[in-house]
Amino acid sequence: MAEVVLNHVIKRFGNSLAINDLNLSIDKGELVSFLGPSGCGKTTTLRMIAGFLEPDEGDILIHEENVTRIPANKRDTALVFQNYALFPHMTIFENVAFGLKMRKVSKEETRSRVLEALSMVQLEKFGDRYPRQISGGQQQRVALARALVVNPRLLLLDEPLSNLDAKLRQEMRSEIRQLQQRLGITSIFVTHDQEEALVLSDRIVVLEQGEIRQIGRPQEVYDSPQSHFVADFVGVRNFFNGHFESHAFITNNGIKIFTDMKQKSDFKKIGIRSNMIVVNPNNKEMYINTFKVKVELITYKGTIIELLVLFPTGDSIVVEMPSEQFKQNTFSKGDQIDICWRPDSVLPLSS
Amino acid sequence: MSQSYLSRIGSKLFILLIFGFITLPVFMVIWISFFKNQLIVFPPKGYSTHWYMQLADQGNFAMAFFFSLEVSLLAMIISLVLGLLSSLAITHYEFRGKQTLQTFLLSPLVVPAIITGIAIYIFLFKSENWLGFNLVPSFWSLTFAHVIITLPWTVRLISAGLQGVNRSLEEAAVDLGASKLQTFWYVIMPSIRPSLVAAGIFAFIFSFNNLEISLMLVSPRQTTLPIEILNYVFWKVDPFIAAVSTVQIIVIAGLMLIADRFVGLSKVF
Repeated sequence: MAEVVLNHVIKRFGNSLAINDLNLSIDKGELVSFLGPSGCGKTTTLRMIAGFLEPDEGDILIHEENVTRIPANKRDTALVFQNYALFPHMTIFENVAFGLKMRKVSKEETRSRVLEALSMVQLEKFGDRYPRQISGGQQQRVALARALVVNPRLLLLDEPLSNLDAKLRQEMRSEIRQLQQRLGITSIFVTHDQEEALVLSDRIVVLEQGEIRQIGRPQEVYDSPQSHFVADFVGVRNFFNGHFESHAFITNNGIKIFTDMKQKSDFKKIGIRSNMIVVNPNNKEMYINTFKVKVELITYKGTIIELLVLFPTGDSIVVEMPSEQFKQNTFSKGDQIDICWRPDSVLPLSS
Repeated sequence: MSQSYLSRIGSKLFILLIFGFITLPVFMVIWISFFKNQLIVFPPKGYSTHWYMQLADQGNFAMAFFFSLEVSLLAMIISLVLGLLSSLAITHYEFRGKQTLQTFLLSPLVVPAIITGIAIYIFLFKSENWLGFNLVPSFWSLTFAHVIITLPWTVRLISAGLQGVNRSLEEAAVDLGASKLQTFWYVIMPSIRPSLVAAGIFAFIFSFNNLEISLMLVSPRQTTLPIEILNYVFWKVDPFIAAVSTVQIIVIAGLMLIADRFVGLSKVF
């Protein structure tokens, strides 16, 4: 049963169209990510669901109730803000208790629920402190506890991890996911970080210019992006323009690339992931696509080596190879190497 | 090493000089109030506290002091309420004529006080003719005029305070179920307390020290302290007036200290 439904939602800011006819349905207990660059409308959509913005057209349903015209304080949603928005003049305890106070929950019940929420995020000892006395990661967890303590029907997270450093971000990521699954709470997570979306989500909604470009499970979106935009966003770095001739793709510069396309298609673009390309393999024939290229640039990146290679036609692509393999198979700038990839690594894309 | 030491001493001395230059008149007034002489002459012939003793005898000064206090406190309260309401409108809503309203509220700062005073006087005088009963002089018209000149300060300071409140805090409160009023009470008010105190202090001091506008609106029997002082120095200049001023300085300094106790003035300014 759909817990959240967006039905032909349109939002304009002045003359510009921020959200264009958005349709989406989210199941109970599901965590859905809105993924896209800034200005794609992901935060606007989230704010409409939270009740801070009213759509110009269309309806928003939560638990089969039309909430489109219901103000934010009457909706059963809880938002975790990007900057946490903790009340600076209240202690951590008071911050978490705020939602319960507004709901006129009794003192004793408030106390036990706040302590429970704080222990859920391992902060039960910090109740007496003020927000400025705790670290960014701890503030983030307080914000989470404050949202969860009211048992919202829907948890909304607006880029909650973007202010944390890389290591903490990874920790919080799994912490949020575990909590969300344990509580079975329907959640929407807004982010511009593809990795975050891939790790956290049940489904990813990729947005661009106020429109949904693709919806799917993380693996679907990662393995078979449908358009150039989505492919680019999930880290595909090599693109060729051209056309299909039966199952082979002929690039505009005449490079022939074999694909596993079964029937005739009119895709005008393909993409190939850098890590699907193999350098100097022993069994070249197995890959079907084999090219002689010149190494232009070698960049060391820790676990991988990144190569910029040049086709005789002048096209250049980026190839990733494991550092270990590079150690056994050294070459230097200017050398000729073989690069290969399998037909099923080719991603046909609409532009 | 000695060079940096010298320059540090030098800059400290410089700061001390500026500080002295600013506060010197205040200390002069306090010093003079203890002179024994009938006229202000340097060096003094001796020191006494008899000018302070005279304060009790000069009943009109005490009356003027309490009258001023009454007007200023009331003007401060009204100006705080109006200032808060208009600041909330200015910072939280978009409406036509917002810029005009803002300029209008701040305009008494630009116009010389004496002009404002004359304008208010003429306005009240004309209204009197029209309404058929006395407006000038009265306690209420004086207070009303003081609200006009203190309003720019409360609007300016409170809206600056409101602008400093992160909007996502208000949204967070609403998101957690707070109504507009609850959001104001639990989130906005505590955040702008320092600017409210600052606005109150400014409003009070500007009203309490005002001469030009009060001049037009007081009656011989009900005058404010600055006017009583002015009247006195028309006839003679003696250390008594320094004693009166010292009391005024102490009252205002006392208020500042109380405010500091409540919010910490360093946070306010």
